[in-house]
Amino acid sequence: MRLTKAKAAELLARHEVVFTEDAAAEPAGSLVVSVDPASHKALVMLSRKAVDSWGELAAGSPREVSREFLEPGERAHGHTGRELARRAGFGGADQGRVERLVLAAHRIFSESECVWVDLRFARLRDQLVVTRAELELDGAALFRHPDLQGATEPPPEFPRSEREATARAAGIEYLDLEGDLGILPGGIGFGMAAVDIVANTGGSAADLMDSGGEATAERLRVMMDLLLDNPKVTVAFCCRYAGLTKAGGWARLMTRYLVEKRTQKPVVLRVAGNDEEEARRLFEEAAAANPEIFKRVWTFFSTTPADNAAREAVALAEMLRKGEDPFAEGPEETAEAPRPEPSAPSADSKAPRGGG
Amino acid sequence: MAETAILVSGSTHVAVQGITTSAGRNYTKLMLEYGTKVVGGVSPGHGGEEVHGVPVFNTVRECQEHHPDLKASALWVPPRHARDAVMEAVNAGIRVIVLTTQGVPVHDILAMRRRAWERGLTLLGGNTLGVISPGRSLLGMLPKVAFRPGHIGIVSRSGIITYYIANTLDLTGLGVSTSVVLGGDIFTGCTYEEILRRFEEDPDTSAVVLAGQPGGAHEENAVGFIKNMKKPLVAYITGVHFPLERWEAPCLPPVQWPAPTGANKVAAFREAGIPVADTLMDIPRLLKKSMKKQ
Repeated sequence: MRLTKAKAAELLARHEVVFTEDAAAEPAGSLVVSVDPASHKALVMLSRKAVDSWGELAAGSPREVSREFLEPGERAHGHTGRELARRAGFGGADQGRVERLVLAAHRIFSESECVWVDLRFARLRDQLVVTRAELELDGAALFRHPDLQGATEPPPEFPRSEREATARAAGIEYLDLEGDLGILPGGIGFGMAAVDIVANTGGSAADLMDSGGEATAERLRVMMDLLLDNPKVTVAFCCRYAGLTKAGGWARLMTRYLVEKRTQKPVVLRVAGNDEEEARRLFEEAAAANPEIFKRVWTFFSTTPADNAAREAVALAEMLRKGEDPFAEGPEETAEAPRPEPSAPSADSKAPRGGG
Repeated sequence: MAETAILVSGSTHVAVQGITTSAGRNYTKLMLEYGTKVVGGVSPGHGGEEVHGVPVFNTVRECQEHHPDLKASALWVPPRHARDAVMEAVNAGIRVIVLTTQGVPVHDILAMRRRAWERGLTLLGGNTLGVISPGRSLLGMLPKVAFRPGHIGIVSRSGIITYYIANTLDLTGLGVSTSVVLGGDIFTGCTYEEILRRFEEDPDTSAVVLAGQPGGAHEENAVGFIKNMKKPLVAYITGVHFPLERWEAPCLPPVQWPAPTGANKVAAFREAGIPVADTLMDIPRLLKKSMKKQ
């Protein structure tokens, strides 16, 4: 959460630092206070350059940057600033001026619980003034800072596709990707893995979605519609590991959705975890009652590796890309789809269709 | 299967802080059903009550007075109370602290981590599902259905990916000694190295799977230690094709370089000669290959 320019100027002023956009100011350097992900300490970096990418500059031209680490909760002292200034090549009275900037930036970082404070400073007459201030707040800590609430910039707006906007309105984290295989992965932890697995088995994902948590009929409908109504998607691959939830409940919602949706697109499902047997029973029951719909729905369970289920989905997408109809000769003909590798464990024999 | 395990054994006395919250009640039940020795709950103002037969105390010290062998605590507390609750556990000398809370302020987690480290205590989380040693103990909310006993240690930042890894290991006849979730945030209370060091010394663990993800520097920090490990380790880094810059995740500090993408993390591991699995099924294949070399 970026603090507004006006509020940033106000905080700097509290520490007797002038913020100005006066064009006459002569650029003198940059200063950042942030948390170092490697050491989990506060990291203060100073440079005489106008820095756009601190990490890149520090890695590529370490001599251009002076650095100091501070323990969490530790105050910056005058000598911290003077030493940073000396090493960055500031001499004479400038060392004291930089010291004041460093102390102000670190205090704002600590007191306002920023994730980073990134300043550009310049010389104006005989003082150093701040000409650009980016103060990134920790949204999780805002409850302790009522004075900063309402003083943040609106979050940057990314260009969104219609589907991304629909997902956002429904509270679902979703991104369009370039491929043709729609993925409903459960949580984002496996979502990232699923996109990789699909890529590593020769396919290409059409989306990245965080579809974790307890499913409701409406939420599942929105998520599945995002996949199946996307004209680029030729096959949907849905994975559910019911750890703390129940696979049977999810299967009930999914079978209902598939019966109502009557999609012509193939859907490859893998369900594992708690209550898996009930999920299997529900899919078998739905397949028996709706053979036309479920001949395009392949179901796998925990005895089939997730990789192999993904491979089946990728193979289906490949066939469709080539203009082949995997269902033309009836469900058993889908044996054309690649089988699991000989080294992999055998797939579920009870799957309603495909079998894997 | 040894009776003891890294972090929490079957005989470890455990407290639940925030036991009277809805999540605290639910997961206390889950842990009790698993056989974890939950000896007390802590919830200020609720002293004297009971939750699933577990006595509730007002403070951790009070719980400790009744149960001097108290060694571990799992916390289900709101983010704004997380620092207070963790510091209470740290000051009481609780050796293993599992902070499940999501959305803990960054400066709070840094302060907690430092204090825990100074006292030689282990703080998992925030945003962790905890630790499970299958058949022995569960501290947190990992589902028992995913984990079968065995001799492979798992350490991961994501919780759900551990289910998939354990399921994949199970399909190839391998089980889990202990699975530890550090927590999904960029800043966490514990490092990979701290857990890997324990696996290295654990007689019940013969090899380790490290699961990583984009963001933060946890994986890069672990490379130096892994290179000197005696036990085989296979890494599985997800998010190689993850568009980090397009995902509206918590802001990444601008001081890290190269960018903490999945692809850069994989490159760092491969450069160090650490085997990296491309897919889930690669994990048992690479593990077996590494173990054969031993």
